[in-house]
Amino acid sequence: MKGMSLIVRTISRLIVAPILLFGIYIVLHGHLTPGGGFPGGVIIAAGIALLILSYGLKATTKKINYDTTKVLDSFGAFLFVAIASGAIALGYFFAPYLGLIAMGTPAQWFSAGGIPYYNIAIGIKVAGALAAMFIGLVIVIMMGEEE
Amino acid sequence: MIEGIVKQAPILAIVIPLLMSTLIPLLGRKHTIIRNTLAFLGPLGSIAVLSLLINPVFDGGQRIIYMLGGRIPPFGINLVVDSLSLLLAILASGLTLLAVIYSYKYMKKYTGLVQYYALVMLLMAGILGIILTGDLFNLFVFLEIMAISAYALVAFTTGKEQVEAAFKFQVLSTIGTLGVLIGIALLYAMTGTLNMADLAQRIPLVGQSPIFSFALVFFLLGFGLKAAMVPLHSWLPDAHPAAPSPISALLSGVVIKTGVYGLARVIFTIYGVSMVAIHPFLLAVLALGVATMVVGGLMAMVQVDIKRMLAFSSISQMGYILFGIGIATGLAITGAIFHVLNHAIMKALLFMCAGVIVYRIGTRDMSKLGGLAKKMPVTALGFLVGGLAIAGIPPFNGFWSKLMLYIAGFQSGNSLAAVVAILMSVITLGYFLRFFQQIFLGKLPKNLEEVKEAPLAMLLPIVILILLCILIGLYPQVFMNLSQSATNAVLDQTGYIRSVLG
Amino acid sequence: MIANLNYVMAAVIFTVGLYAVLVKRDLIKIIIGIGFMEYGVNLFWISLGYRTGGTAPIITPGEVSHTASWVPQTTLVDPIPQALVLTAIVIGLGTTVLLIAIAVRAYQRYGTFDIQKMRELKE
Repeated sequence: MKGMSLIVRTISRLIVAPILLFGIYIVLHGHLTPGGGFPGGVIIAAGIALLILSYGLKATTKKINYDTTKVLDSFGAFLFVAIASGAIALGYFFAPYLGLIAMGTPAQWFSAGGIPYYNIAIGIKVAGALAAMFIGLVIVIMMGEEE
Repeated sequence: MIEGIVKQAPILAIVIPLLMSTLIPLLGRKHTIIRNTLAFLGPLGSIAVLSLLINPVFDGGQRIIYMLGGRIPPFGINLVVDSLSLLLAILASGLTLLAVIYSYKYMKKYTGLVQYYALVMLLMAGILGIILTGDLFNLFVFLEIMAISAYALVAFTTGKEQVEAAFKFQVLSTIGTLGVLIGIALLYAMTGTLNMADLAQRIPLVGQSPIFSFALVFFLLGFGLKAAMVPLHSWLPDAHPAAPSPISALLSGVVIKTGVYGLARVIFTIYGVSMVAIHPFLLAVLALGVATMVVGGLMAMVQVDIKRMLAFSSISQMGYILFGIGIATGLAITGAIFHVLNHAIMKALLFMCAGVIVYRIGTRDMSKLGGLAKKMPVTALGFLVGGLAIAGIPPFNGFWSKLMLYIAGFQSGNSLAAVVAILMSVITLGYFLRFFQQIFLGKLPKNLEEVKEAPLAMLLPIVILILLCILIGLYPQVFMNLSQSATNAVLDQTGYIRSVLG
Repeated sequence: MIANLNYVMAAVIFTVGLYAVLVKRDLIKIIIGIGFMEYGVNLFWISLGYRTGGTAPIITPGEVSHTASWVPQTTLVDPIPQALVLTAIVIGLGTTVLLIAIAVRAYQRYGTFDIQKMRELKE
């Protein structure tokens, strides 16, 4: 995969950073506005996919390589299970904790118990997993092209 | 401390393998020993926490309810551990433990083993989730977790055969899970709840409706496909042989049993026998079960590929289990549950013996083998014990469960089906002895002079399973009682509702 | 008929997907068929949660008090099917990606996407 023309590269250089930032925003505000860990992670992964499509795999993997995405994937999953298991100490798996008000107050970031933290874990997991899926498929397809 | 663990045991049994499946790729990348230890600790931890529940559940006859997030049922998701769940959960984690030990040597020549062990842990978490959950949609989610890891494991070695089998498996299996999902949607539309106990309570209140029958058909389609019921069985003889042998043992041992478990839960716990018995639904399950045992047995006879033969034999044995579910008397269900347990043990044993042949010789074609008994005495013994047990020859474990099924068949007036079941057992004995003779007796081909017995890590699970076959065969009473208590738990609908909803 | 159009549509989408899975020979078309079936079921779930005149189940400040009951003042659509469909979509994503990965591998091994030319396995 070699990447695309100058126009595509210039545009994607301009918009990749806002895309990643928007993805992070969606992850962090999942408990307040529509969205959450999964959609946010998908947006972040889409930004990485855009980089690969416009600049090619080699240029992109200098910034974020296959192993990093796989580690992020496992780490996000681990974080989620760890946060949820931490609640066992307070009585039950998934029990609301890490925030004082379990029910949450609208438009308050520090509310809704553990949900923002779960969202962050899912965001890491989904972004890593989808980026790994995309990079993995690109690598497999490139292997086919070389043959 | 112990009391705290007992209270949290149902979720810990699922979370420990889940945690291992995330930790293995994180920590086990560099060092084989860490990876292997973590993979060993997952099933071991599950067995340890589940064994704490043996006393209250089997002896006390209790149901342990665990509320996720502390939400009181019917709200939120809850786990319910009754005798049936506990029996199957311990069986699943035990077999996974043996498969992991077996994999240490068997999978050594492949790369990407971090993913392999992570997927095995995920598979186990999925199976335990299906078995322990008390929420219908949660069951679907765990069904997909289990299924997706199973597809990936079948395709793991990415040969031509594996890739094709995995594709076929996944396409058909996805249709099955979608069938389950439609069934769940119809039940939700009628009752507005997903909690199994709440469903069981509300379905009689809604009363008779064709939608319920419709949903039941979708459940039969979905779970029947998972259980390789006959018109829907075509994926199994491709997928199970293509997988690595320890995975074949797990797939045939426990993964297809989750289909039967789901069907039994839907029929007996959610609908209740009286509700289902209005339609000829149980008769259909019985007829399909008989068809399954006949087709599987006849197809197994003509195979030349050893693992493919075992896969068809699995289909045939699933027919016996469906036969028991279809009769739906207490004895028949006890026999079916006992047969689930026995078949898991003996089919895992047989697949592991076949795995030894694949590992040492590298072929699955039985016509190229012969006279291996001298070179591989333990494997030969394992294959013989497994074959005799699966054919229902005393004093091995398969005899008792099949006997219960025959008696239940005659008692309930399904003499014809019972006679077919006995005939199929004779045929099973016939083909297993023929294949045993072909592989292990006779003349040793020249190119197999140098073949050695399997390494110790692969022999250990085989020996344990041989001992289990003989032990259950000699002392069936203990396990019959366990199956009996599982049957009582699954048939006791009002008790289920009372213990979940309080 | 018009009021139940979404149910009819769900059945149609599901059937189209099933047709593709059963009839088409191309692996990618089969995967698309599986996607169609999944979305047919998802549409069915979403339709189950719809209440006539209902609004989105988002609680804004001042609309409902936490201390009292959780019954809101306006009609909301049933949020449970929406949450479930979200789960089903995520599962569908995993299924699809795995199918595509297997299909790509199959293409490498066989040099074709045509399922009829893959005859490694016996009938």
